[in-house]
Amino acid sequence: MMAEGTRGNAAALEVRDLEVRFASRRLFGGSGGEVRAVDGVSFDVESGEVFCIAGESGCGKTTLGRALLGLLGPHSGEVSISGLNPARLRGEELRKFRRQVQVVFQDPMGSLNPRQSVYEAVAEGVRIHGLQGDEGEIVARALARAGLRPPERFFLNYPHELSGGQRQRVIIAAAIALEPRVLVADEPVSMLDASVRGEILELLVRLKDEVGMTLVLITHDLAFAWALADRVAIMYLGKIVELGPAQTVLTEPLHPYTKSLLAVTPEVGRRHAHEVLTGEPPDPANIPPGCRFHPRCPVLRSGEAGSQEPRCLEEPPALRELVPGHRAACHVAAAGGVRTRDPQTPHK
Amino acid sequence: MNDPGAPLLEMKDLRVFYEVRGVKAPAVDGVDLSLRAGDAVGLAGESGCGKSTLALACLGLLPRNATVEGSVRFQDTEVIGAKPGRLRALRWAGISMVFQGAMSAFNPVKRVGDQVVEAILLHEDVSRSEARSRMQELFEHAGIAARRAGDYPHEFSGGMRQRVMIAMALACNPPVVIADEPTTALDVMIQAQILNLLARLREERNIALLVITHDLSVLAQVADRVAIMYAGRIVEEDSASELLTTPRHPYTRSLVGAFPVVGDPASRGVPTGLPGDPPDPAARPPGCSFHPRCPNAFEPCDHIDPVLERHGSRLAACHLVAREES
Repeated sequence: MMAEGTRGNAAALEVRDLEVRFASRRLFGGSGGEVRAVDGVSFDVESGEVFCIAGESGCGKTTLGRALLGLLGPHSGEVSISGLNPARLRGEELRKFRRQVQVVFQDPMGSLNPRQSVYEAVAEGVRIHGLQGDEGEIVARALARAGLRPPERFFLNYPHELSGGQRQRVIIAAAIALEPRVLVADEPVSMLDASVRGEILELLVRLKDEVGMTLVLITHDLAFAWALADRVAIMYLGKIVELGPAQTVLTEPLHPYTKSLLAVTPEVGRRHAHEVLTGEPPDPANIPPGCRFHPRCPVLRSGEAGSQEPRCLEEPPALRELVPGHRAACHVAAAGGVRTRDPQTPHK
Repeated sequence: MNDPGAPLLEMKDLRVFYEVRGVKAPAVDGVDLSLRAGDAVGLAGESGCGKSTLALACLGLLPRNATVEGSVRFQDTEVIGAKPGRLRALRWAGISMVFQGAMSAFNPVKRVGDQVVEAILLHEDVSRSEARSRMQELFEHAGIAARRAGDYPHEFSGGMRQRVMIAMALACNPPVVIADEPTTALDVMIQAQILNLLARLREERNIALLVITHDLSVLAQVADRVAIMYAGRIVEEDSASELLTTPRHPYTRSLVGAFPVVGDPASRGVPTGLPGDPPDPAARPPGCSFHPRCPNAFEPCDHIDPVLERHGSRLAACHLVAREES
């Protein structure tokens, strides 16, 4: 796969032909074949960029996030951060790499040790990575940056004494205390209240600018991607099906799947009669031939695919640049097919 | 037969207090809300604003440390203070509830179809085969394949489980359904499917639907009328289209602002947050309970408690709105 066009900034994160597979096991043993959770994914994220990976449950976005962190070994392909590839690192060097990439997960309660105070939760990483400087100061600075002020007031609190938003701030503080180059945030606000959501999103963006981090956001919520992302990758069954600037991917989508996702993204203040894709999220243990979206594709079903239809059923489409900077993996879009510019009426 | 225009469910000056460390803290603090057949009302607010407590009060399901004042009438029955037997008859057959986290609502070792059949048999004098055929009909309505009635709860995905939960809530044809965060924790596509299902069932069965959530974008899809709750009170109420497009209470404005809209240049960039936490019900601030967090607080807000006033179709409890109107 071709590298992205160079755009001045150095890539903070490079992913090449990444594949992550799991052996699926049946109940009571017996092998059930292989699940290709991430199935050949390539992209670059520039330094300082907000890059969003979006898709339904089971599309492989979380697995991809874990592979970026070096928490899962890829079956093939490469991840490199500032030129370092975790699969080739051992011991001390792997630890140095891990400091460069930190993560914030969805569930703030599940990511904190209930018996660890706020101070300990943040200081643990600082100790493991042997950061230079006064530990207390580093912890206090990280907490204050994450919006827990005055930080000393929170040192001795335990997770159960904090609100959901405060817990998420502690996790963010623990991550940024290590001054990572890349922060991966996996659904960082989906379990939070409406009012706290805004605060946490605001915090993430402010930190990105202050600390100079690169932010990789993993979400199923395209509205959230719209608010924050510079570029968006839409994933379906382990593959990126559309990739480009948030502005164009979300307002002039090329792939029918992106259009379907946009159509069901609920919007405050407007009720839309939308076509909902039927059926459960697709099963990565059973990937359809041809374009993997074809069994659910509204374009194919309505007959609009025209002469491309046989290819949709048989030939997996490649992710190709169809508009400068904007790529999609769809035979119909590549053939200039159904080019409805915008599935939604533009917002006033 | 009741007058079709009469409310099915009517709360009047409903107050619920929890006794916490010897202090009676109001979780619901004087709420008036009514639902007629076919109504879809949304109730939104942050965690701890009292919205779930309100739902539990309607079903007589409050914990023991709660005391209730005011009135909740379901058709001709006063729910508050009703005898346990009367309440049991009311639940499921009168008012049923779809909870969030559908997993814990099912018995894990019984087939889901049997659980729905049991709920029907418990409330109605029908034969087992009649109950079975109704269960199958409900499953079909809720978009669940008939053969899945023999499956156990763990064999269902989150979205399918929520469908079973909805089928179960409708088992005894209740005129009122309360859905508490029906789609939280579900994926976008599944969320849209569940919201479509709720809207369709409400239309087909003329159900009065009360949807409780913190997610205003969900209410835009299913509710006709929306009430915003803060610290146990309704602070703003109007039709969904009016309220969500022109929120006037600063609290509603900040809630609406927390949901970016794809394609809207104004929601590109940092969404607006609302600093601070909702007040402790045991130590409510003087004046308007929202004033310590309010970006627009002015002279009367910290000592005069605003009352819910009508301005056209809008109800608002806010000095700022009152000043703009005068």
